[in-house]
Amino acid sequence: MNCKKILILVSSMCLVLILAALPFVSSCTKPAPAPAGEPIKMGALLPFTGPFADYGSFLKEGLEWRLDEANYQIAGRPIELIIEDSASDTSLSLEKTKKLVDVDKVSIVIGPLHSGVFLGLSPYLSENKILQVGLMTKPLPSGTFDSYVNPFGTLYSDGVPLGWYAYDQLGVRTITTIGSDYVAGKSFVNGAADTFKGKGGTVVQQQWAAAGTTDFGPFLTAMKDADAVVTWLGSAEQVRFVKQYHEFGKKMPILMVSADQVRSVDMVSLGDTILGSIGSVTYASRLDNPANKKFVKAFKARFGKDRNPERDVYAAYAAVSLVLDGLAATGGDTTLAKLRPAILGLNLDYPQGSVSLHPSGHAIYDRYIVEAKLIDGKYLWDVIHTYPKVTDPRL
Amino acid sequence: MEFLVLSTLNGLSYGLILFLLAAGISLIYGVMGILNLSHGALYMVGAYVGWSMAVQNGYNFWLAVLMGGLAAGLLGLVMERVFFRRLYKQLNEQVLLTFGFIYILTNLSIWIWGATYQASFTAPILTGSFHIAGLTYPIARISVIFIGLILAIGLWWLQDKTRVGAIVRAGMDDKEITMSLGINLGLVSTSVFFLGAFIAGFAGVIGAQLVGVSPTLSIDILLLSMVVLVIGGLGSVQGALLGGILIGCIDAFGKALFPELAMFFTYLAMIIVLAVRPRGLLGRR
Amino acid sequence: METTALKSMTQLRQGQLLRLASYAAIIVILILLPPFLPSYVQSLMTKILIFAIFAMSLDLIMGYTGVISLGHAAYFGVGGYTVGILLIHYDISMLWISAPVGILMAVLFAAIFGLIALRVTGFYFIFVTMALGQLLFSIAFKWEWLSTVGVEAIVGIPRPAVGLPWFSWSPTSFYYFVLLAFVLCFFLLNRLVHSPFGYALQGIRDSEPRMRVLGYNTWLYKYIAFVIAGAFAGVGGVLFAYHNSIVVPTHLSITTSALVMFMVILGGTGTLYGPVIGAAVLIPVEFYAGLITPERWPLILGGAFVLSIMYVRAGIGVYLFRLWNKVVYRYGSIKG
Repeated sequence: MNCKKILILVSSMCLVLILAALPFVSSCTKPAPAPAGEPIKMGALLPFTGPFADYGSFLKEGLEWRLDEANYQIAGRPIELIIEDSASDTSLSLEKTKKLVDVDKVSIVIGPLHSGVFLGLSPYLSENKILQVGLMTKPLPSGTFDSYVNPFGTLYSDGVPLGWYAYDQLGVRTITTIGSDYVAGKSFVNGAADTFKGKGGTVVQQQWAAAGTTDFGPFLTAMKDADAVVTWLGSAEQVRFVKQYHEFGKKMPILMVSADQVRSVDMVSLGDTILGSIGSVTYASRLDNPANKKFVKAFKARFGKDRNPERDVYAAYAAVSLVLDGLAATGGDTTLAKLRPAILGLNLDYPQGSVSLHPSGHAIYDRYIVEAKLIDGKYLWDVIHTYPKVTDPRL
Repeated sequence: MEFLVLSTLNGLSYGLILFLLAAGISLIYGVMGILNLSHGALYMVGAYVGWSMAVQNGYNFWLAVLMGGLAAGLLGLVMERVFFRRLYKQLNEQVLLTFGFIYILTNLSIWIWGATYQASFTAPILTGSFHIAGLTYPIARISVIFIGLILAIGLWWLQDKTRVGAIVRAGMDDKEITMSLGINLGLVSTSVFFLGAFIAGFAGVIGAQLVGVSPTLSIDILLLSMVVLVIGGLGSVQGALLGGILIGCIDAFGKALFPELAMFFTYLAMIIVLAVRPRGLLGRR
Repeated sequence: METTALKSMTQLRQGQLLRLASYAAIIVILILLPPFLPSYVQSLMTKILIFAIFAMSLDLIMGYTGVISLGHAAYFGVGGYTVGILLIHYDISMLWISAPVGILMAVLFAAIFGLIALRVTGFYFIFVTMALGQLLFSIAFKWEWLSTVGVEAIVGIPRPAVGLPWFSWSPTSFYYFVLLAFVLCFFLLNRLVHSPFGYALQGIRDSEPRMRVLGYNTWLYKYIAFVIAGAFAGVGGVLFAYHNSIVVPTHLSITTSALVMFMVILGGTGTLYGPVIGAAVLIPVEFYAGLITPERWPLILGGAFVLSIMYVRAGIGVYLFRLWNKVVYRYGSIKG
């Protein structure tokens, strides 16, 4: 090793140090956290870039809105929210999480959205006794982790009511399915397919499309005839699929797990072809309960009359609500051993209906069957059937 | 039979979009020795401009196609004049630079047009489907096939039958000698770059008839068009066309017949072709 | 006569002094300081060192041999996946087994893929390596045997067991472990590029036909370099799996391949210190850009790429190297 190279190494390491020490310096100036009156720090990992980038801004709106409502305060303690980009990448998200825990000293982490990435972070958060809060439905954990709560249910349980409805109410006897080819897509679709089979129906074909599929032509060409087609695809692909489905002249009714993947803007661009589609949802703006009426009114006051509250914003709103309600119950204590049991013991009246939590951390609540309708010149998912207190049969 | 016809049409329509993109990359690489990985990003920008014209502002679809092409073309012109001009044949630097452009253009598009997916759109006369002999097929896809084939013929004619094409081919083979013949290669390079970028933007709007517009397009479409180029061979329109149609069909039949394995087929095809013909099926030299 | 000799003597002293200072700085920054840094900065420094190994391995084929690979992450990922698979299917987390097997698997894949990829050159080589990487990526994504249940990844990989009952890992001790590996790799690669074999590689880079005329089997040289690069990439992958506690399919894909390629180009190709500096610059920039603006960080990163290419074309590492040379020269002559 010659002298010059050593010098270069030195300068490079200096650079490393300078860059690496920047946040350290800033974090050093902050005093160590004391229990009372000190801010409660909440981290959130949202997808602003990468495959789920379209959810990021909506989720952010929901988080900030709920905290604004609470005036960034709970149980006499101010709340600080630190948002990071998850990029729906497990490796990157884990690094961001470590930074949130080590430097920002957060005691609660919300998200990320992507269920695989979410599970990837769980062991680390569980080890560090940090509460992890789900955004939207999440998979059934494979191991036992004890640091997790979610105002929504499992991916699989989202499909369950659709299977029932298809068989019992629509009289469908055969289905063909198409879903995104990863854990979430398979759980959603199989939730519906398994319950449908359990009732006595036949699944004639199951197709799986890679995440990010642009052209569904090949799948549509190979699609077999059945009484109905059951789908779950990422929001962009779902819209793409519905559009191409009709272009290919397919006539089977479309049954969508998490139908609200198709947002109202997308419904406008799909136009009348979306009408009559049926799906299962966890939240719909047309739910008839006092909490939701208040929620919709507040939403319109904040974001304008033309917009309609949708699942993305609501999911973030509900996640923060759950944390705040839990903190109110513990009197601002953020220790996992107290906060999580407090949250699990709550019985809540949320816009999605009354919510209680299963010991696994997943919520138990009513599920709704919706149909795409044109109401007062607006395309909306309207509630047509309710299944009370649905849980994942595997829990 | 019905399945065969429809799958072939699927393969052709998707493959021809890939061809348009690959042809641009191939032309630019051939003439200027520039590997423009941000070509997919130009495609995306074109698609967004077209969408914004046709859907947001309600202009004529064909005008939107033209504007999408122009926007990408102008962007390409700026790239060439300001950046690439100084990086002739420096492959490393080009890769880093063009990846930088991908990051910037993708994020700017999210900023300007939002991250949500925009559904496919087309001209009013192309909406709806054909119904022939019991088959149903979207008209827009047929139009994509026609437009792609017409452009392919046009490009082939330009390359093989015109003086410009002769200069381009000469420049590919030996830059120095071509220049010593008194030919202004700078001007030719700039025009070729503009043409390549224009076709990318144009293809963006044409392709939006099938797949709509989203910010992840730039990488998705780039990877596939690279595979097309490697299979078809660099430096010729025919190669890109053959590669595009092959990959389109492999993708269409693969997804329909073996959806579980579809992801492997395109890359596997590429590796097999290279093992047998290292310069692609119709590569120059 | 005497005065000039004296002057050169003092200059020599100055040089020695500077060299000593640089040793001291290295020791302070890399060895003495880390225990006092928060674990998160230690973790970032660990990651930088791991990627420095990975980037140096790519530079062996890119900078020294002149073949550009856009699929180098394949061997990095294979190393990591081997560690993960040994753990979840065979319950082996012993360092002395899982690390060598991981590196061996990376070598094996590089040896097979090298046979395919080295049939072609230039543009085609870039993309055939990319395709091979993407192939592994899709296998890792689709084949459930290669994942923890419910995730498209292997999660919860612990730091390796070393077989000493009294020893347990801390972020600091793991950092030192990685530092040791880094120094070892740097030393080995440095020996390699300054060996006759290394010079032959550089000859191939500069003019392959000439080397062939001189009687070298250039293909074999390139192939061996490719496999060695795969081995060092495997070292990086194994360490990263221990460090990050997860392996994901993207560790095999073009995303990671491109990232490490950026490091090499950004730092300066054809030098060993270049990729190290590239890693030391890119990882923090990417990380902090994401923290400063979670929504717009690609603009910062992309802008940094464009600017560095336009203004520091030879690479930041090479630029710093020249700058340092100037400083040394000035310092010496003023004093004299």
